[in-house]
Amino acid sequence: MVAEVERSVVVPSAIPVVVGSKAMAGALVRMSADSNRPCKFHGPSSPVSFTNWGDWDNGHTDG
Amino acid sequence: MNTESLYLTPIVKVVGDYCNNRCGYCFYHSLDQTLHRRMSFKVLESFIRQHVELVHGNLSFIWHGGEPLLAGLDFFWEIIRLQKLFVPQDRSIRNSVQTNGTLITNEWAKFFKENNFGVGVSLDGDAESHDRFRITHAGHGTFNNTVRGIKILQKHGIKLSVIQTITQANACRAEKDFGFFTGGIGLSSFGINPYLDLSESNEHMKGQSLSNDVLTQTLVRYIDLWLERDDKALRIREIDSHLSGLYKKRARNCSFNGSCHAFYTVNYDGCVYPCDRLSGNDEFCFGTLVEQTLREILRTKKWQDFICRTRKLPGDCMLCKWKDSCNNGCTAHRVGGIDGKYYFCQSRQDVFAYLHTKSKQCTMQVL
Repeated sequence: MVAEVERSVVVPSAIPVVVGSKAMAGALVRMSADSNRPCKFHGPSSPVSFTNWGDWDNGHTDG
Repeated sequence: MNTESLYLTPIVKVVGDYCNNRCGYCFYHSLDQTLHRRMSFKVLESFIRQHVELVHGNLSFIWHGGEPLLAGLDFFWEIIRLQKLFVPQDRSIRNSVQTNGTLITNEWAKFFKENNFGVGVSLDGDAESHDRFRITHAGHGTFNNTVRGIKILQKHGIKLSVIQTITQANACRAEKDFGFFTGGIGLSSFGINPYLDLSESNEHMKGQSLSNDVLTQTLVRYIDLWLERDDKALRIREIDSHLSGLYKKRARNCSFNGSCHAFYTVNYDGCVYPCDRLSGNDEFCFGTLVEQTLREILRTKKWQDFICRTRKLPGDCMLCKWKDSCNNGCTAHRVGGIDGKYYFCQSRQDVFAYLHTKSKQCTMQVL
């Protein structure tokens, strides 16, 4: 009986799709597991960190 | 030396300020960028040997300029030779190069592929956005040559990232530039640098610095475009970094992490500075590898004082709900000096708030 109730409620096609969910999910997957407290940030400590190569905040704009 | 400073990423200006372009907003615009300089192999060897000895674990090098490809392929092969000579096999090496892309050839692409280089290319958007300020010494646009370089890299299977500079001129062109990046040349990763000339010393760029409001509007537009495209593989550095901040995680963009201590710059002549946004300023020259060891330079009171100043947060930061997500932004964009308040503080707060709402809407489905 419980299972029948649950089936009647959870109908995937009835859930409105929020545009951007996939993009957001991708960002969450890419997110570092490390805290952003500066004292915890030491630089690349594992090969995984090397995926960060394009992320150094640079570009020849004036400062 | 404390343990923190044992993890460092060097930014190496292999040709100093020398560049084949003359971009209007370059922070070396007031310098003579036509002087052909190159780091000597002696300084290069000394730097790589000392860096490898000083830091722990895996290694990351950022090769920069000016335009670093002007150093020539022989210089880059020497880098590889020296790294093989000094780095034990149990330590990984990651090399990155930031280039304007105009000098890329098949030979360069093969080198980058063979040696696993990450390549960042400076590209401001489509031709109209890019050619406004990214020009040659003769004043011609560089868009065609830059895109030609990008296509060569793509042909060789090199995954590249682009850094776009936003000025007042292209802030209103987000749709077109986003469409060009994602559709026109098929990028899956790019970052956005807001143009800011706090000293207002660049006559060519008067009125082009972004205000907080314009930066917020631009980033919000990019967020909306990113959500509408809804591609999990599409990474926009600023969006990822703001989201990391929301979740109190380390951002991939240093300007969110308060991590100036994790970088130092070596100029072609061996002089050591902090991040290259502050290089070339005698106030921030910590020493030279010609006369001192790297260890001595990074132990100087000048370096330690610099780090302390960059970490000290203004009083109102302490009351801000985004303090740990922002860390007072980029040191080079602080008003009144490196211990001042981040110029784009208001924009950061606004974008955090906007993304917070969007993230809640989306993650209800994701989680």
